[in-house]
Amino acid sequence: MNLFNNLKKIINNENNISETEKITVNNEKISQNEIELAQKLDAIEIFTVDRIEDNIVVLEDRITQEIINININELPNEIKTGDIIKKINGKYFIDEEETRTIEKRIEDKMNDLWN
Amino acid sequence: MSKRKSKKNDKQIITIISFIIVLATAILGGELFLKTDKNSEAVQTSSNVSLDKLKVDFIDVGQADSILVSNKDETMLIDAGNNENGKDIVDFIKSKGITKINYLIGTHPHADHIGGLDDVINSDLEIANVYMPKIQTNTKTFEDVLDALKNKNLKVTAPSKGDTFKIGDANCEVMTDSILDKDNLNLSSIVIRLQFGENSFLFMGDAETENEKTINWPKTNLLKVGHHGSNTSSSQNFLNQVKPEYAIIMAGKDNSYGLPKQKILDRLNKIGAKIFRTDELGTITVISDGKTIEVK
Repeated sequence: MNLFNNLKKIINNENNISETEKITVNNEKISQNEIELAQKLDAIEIFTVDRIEDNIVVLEDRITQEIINININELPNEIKTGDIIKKINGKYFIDEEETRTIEKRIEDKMNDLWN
Repeated sequence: MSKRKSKKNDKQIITIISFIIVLATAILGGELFLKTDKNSEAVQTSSNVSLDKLKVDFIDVGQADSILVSNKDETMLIDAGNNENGKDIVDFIKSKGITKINYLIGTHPHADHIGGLDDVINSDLEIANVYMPKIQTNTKTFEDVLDALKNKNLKVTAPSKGDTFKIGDANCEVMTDSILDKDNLNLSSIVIRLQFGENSFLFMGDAETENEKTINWPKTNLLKVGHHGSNTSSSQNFLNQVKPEYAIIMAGKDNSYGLPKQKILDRLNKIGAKIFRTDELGTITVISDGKTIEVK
């Protein structure tokens, strides 16, 4: 189950909400329409939290590997180093499922390399 | 008889003359030889001196670290900047005629320290030893480094406090054990102290006060200031022990994090350290002959 299905599930489980009505996930309000549109347009950006310097969260764009700095207040409260973050329509969400998948893959690679 | 005698005398004279000639030749030739020897020694000495000096390049990689240490054809690279710096670092190393890195150190797996490591590993530079703390992060940058290491069939060592190794005539020592905290990778920084003759250098990576508190620090001539001059590092107590004469700060011009912090600059100034910053000077080259340190 990825972040989008999770988000949709959360939205759909809410009773009597329309497609455009917004619910709160990771401190952000988002609607089903926004998620579907972003998916259709392939406009979802994906980042990893590289580090946190004071109140600045340093994100690595997983595609371009560009480093971007975001004020910690613009990101989910529970954010920490190593989290996989998705940006949908200007809003940031932690993708816990993808974080776990990547974490496991890297852990396996590490176990082969250290003496 | 007299003829014989005179012949004998002649022989003696010839012997004496020969002896004098041999002696003179020996003395003059010797002196000549000595002179040539001295000259060649002088030439050799001057070339040896330049070869035998320890060289440390604090490479300008913006808001990141990359330090090249070399002595007697042996080298160590401490960190490799951000992702975009990898190729420039490889070119910089090759431009010095270096073909082998004896020790490749990734102090800790933040992108501003290991960013270009994959390019260094994947280049045609020969790599003998790789030191990195065994701590995980999930960036593509880190995974690229792991893939490059596997590709080159290299193994990684997580060094411990007290481990020693040599770069030419320089003795290096790992000063602290990495503190493995997934939420603050700075604490895993490999800290190396290098002793070359009477001169000493301390490379802190991004080590913080928590690391500084773990040991008593020997007085050291040159300090690569921890964590780009952030408030997290360079505690007064630490600086009082290290008492650096030279402080190198690696930071990017107008960086987003306001580094180095004024408080740290004040502390370094107060302790009498001469401060050199890559954000102001670009690449900083330090030369040591084992007695004096020259900053270029």
